[in-house]
Amino acid sequence: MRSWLDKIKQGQLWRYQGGVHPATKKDNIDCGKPETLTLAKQLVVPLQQHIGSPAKVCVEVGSTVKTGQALTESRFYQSPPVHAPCCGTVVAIEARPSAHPSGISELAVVIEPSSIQNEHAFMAPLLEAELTPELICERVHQAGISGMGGAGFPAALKISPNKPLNVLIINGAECEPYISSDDCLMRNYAEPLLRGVSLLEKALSPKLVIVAVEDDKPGAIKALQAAAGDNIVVRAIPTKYPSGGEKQLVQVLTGRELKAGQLPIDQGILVHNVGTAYAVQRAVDHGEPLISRIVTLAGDHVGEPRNYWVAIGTPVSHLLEQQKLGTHHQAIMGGSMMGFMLPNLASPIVKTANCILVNNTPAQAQEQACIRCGECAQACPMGLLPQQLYWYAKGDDLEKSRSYKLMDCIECGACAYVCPSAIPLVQYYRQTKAKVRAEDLLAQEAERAKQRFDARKLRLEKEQAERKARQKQAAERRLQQAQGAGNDPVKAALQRMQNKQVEIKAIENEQGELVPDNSAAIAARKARKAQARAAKDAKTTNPAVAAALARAKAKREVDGEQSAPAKSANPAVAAAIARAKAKRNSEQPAEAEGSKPATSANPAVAAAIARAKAKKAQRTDASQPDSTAAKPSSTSSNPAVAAAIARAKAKKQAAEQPSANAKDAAVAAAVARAKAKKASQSEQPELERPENDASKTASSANPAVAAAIARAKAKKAQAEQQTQGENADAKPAKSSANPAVAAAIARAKAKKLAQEQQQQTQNEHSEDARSVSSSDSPVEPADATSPPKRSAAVAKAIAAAKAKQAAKAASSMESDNDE
Amino acid sequence: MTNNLLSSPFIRKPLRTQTLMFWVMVCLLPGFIAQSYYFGIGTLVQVLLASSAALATETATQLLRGRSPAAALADNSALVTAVLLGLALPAYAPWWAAVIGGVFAIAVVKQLYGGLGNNLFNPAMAAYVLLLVSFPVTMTSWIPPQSLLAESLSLSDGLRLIFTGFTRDGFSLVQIASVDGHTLATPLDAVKTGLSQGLMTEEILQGAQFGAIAGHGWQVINLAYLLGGCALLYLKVIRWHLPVAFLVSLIVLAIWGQLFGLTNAAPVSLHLLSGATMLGAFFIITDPVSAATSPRGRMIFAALIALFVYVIRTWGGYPDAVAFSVLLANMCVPMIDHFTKTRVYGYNVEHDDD
Repeated sequence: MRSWLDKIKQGQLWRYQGGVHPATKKDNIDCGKPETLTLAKQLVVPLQQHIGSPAKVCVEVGSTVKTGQALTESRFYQSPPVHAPCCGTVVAIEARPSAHPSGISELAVVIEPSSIQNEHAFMAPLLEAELTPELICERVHQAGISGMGGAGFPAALKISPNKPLNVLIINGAECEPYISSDDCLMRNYAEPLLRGVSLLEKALSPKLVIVAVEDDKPGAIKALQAAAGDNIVVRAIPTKYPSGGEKQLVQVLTGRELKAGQLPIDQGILVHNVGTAYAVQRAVDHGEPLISRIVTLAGDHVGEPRNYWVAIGTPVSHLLEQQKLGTHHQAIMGGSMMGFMLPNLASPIVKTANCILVNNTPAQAQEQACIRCGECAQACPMGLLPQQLYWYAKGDDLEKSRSYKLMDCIECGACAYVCPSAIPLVQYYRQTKAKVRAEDLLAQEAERAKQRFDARKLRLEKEQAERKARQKQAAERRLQQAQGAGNDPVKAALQRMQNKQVEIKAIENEQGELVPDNSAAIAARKARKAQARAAKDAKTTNPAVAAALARAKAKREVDGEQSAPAKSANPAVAAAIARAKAKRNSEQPAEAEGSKPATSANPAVAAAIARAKAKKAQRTDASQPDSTAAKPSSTSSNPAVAAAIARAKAKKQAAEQPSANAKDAAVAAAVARAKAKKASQSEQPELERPENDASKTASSANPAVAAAIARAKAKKAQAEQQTQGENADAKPAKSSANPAVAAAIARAKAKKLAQEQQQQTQNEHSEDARSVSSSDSPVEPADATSPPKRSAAVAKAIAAAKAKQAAKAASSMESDNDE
Repeated sequence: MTNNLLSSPFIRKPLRTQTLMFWVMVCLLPGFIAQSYYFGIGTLVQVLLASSAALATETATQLLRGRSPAAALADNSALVTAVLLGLALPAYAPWWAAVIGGVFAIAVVKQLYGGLGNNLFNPAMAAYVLLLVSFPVTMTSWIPPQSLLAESLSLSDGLRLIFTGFTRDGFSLVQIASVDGHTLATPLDAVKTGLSQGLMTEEILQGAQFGAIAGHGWQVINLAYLLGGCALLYLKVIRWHLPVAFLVSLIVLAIWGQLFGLTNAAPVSLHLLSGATMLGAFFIITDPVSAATSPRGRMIFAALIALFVYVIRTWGGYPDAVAFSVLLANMCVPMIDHFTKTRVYGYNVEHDDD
């Protein structure tokens, strides 16, 4: 059995299915030596005349160019450069109507030819001895050669294959009616053309080179055969449209069918146009880039249909003028089967423009119903079922269109050519293809979006999980701390329960509004007792801590709390309990579990209620200004109201006479603060000393000073506590948490005091201080001035205010812990 | 310069749908002439009746659908349908048969499905079957060829028969169709009747209505249609796949029947040259709209029709079966199309050696 290559060599030809035989209309076209067309007034050289990307412009507006000078440059083979087709001046680099069915404007270099055309900037010819495949390849790229058959694939890209090449096919089939530019080239330039073929052979080293020409061009075949050496086979193939199509030509010459998506090179086959081969010869042997090409001018309106050498960039209208054709005509660029109507005659001749047809505008034949005659299926060279595709195109059924392989349609137009119902099938396919592509694009984008969304979801979930883990960890740590301090969560929950019940009662009372209540009296008494106890404690321990303890205790007792966790020596626990209680008191939490201490604004609510009440009281008191000013505590049973009144008064008076004393007090405070800082710096962790200091400063008449000292101490203690907390997690420092809480409380208290003091005059100092402090501390108001019978609401408000402070301190502590 | 941009290709084959239809009618002429020769003016009257009904219906439906009647009439498709129906009807069937058939073919079978190109069934054959099922006696009342008639039917008698049911002398169609007291049926009818009476095929073929090959008159008519069909092929109005596949299948089946000695098997010649065989092969099953689309599919489609024809002619209740067979095969078209997709270039490629 003969081998495949032998069969080809011996002239075996294969057939492809389908195809049509339109009248070639080439007989009357002059294929003699083509005359060179005169230069137009302006040449428009589009940057992109090929498949790929445009190269970078390397000339400027106003620069003079010589024939063959590169206008663009690129290292990449997919961007072959374009060259100046003549000597002249670059007058513009702008968007001009392109040689495209849409007529869309594309960036182009506009050149005005100069009157004298005697200079060129060709590259140096390559010598035979130095020719290497790489060199040829590079030269082909530099010369800006792209496929001249119609598609415009960059030639350099095609002749640098990395796959073994069996057959190099030079396509001179030229199966389209009217077009005869290749015929003209083959007839008149057979020798240089074949030289170009051998250069391509040199670059590609194929096993076999075939120049294929349809048998309706005997002149070309004869000329080629006369010039061809032994190594180049000139093969006449039967005339049939579209034998010039790459796939069809490969099949005819080699019997090979390219699989869907395959390129010829995948089967060791490469196809180049004869025009490309000629351009390669010009570039290698003469250094001349691709700046002109043969164009057929034909059609019904063309008196002397013939071929011209046309400079790339020549407007089509200029070509039409040669045959005295006005601009009222419609010109078709390319052939009658696959060409396109130019929307604008200013469009230039580009590297792929092989023909300009000026035909009678075919009366738009009325599209009739498809009668399913099946002629299209017989004509289709791709074996498609065009009438089925037409149905699906009309029905917008993209899925079916795909499954009937619409995307394999080569748009040769054979189906539309034979259609008896004059259906513009190719147009339908183009539109549907565009829709399919759009759908693909959309699907791609959707897929990408989905991936993005999934990734985001995953990320968020991860983050949330991490956050939860962190929170859980923190909660566990807190629980551990609480347990380490001997607090039983079950008991705490029970207490909370009780608190809740008490709270409900309290609310009822509150709703009862100022109704004297026994329980409240009892609570008050208990608070007093607690205060006494606290005062005793305060003698031995840190007064700030004692205060906090006392406050917490008082509050608990006010709430009717009987059990005494307050007895616990740990003020941190006390504070936590107080905080929890405060939360319970101010609202009714739905859930019983409360391992997380409340950091909510609930105590603030309580405080707000108290404040509101005070305001109300103040309003009522305003009716009797004299008496309120004189003896506020006696007229009002509510210490909060009293405090508020006092504060309001102070404000008023401060506004009346801005005191010099305030300045003094501020100075004193600053001095004290500095002192305290120094003391705290020198005094190291021992807790006794700051306590002493605190007690010392507490005796001072200036509360601001005391406060500053307390704050500084607290800060120090807090820092210590942090380090200690790190060191000993197991027993969360009994003593360490204490000063922080105490200090915070002290700070808050001191602040308030300082504020008051600044506003107060000296006369009223003692009185006001008493009333203010009575609102601040549950310890003090319980004693002298206030009557024993006091509404529970008032007690509660006081407790709430305390709780708020405690909570604040605790939360700041917690946040420190969390960190 | 106009903005009337057209899409490629810019040249078209001159053969248009209306031209195709026109050539179909031209190629029907030999058969029509032969039929008229044997059955008189009746054939022409039926064709005219059916055509007027069909064209009127086409116009009306187009108007109802808000489309241009001129464009629809211009494609000649309604006319071809009507002519085929007219030729298929018994020459002296009453006038309303042709009218009902024409209206039904266009309004129901064609336009209700969406007009030209959308109909599932062959309009002429669907109308024929409607009439055959509805008026079986009328539709089988073929008179014997004129040469076999006792006295030839005059032109006016023919018209009277069609429009009034009786000749001037008061004879009904049945009376005219009977020769020597018994009815002379069509050859296929005669074979069926004869076989059912236990006669041998050879004996039946001795009957008066049988000529040299396949029945007096009918064989000539069929040969005339064959001639017209060949012209269609020559003009490339139709492709060979359908008629050749149909005729070859029918021949194969007929030979098979004879070889296996089926007692009720008609000879090959009878199958080929009597009844509507040739009219069907070249003019009816070649209706592209209701046929399969791919060449392979068309061959299957045609073979299927041949099978149905043979089966119905041999074992069925009707003497001829082209109309039924075509409709049955029409129903199979979507399936045939589905399974006979052409191999697209580049898919399922098998290469020979390197």
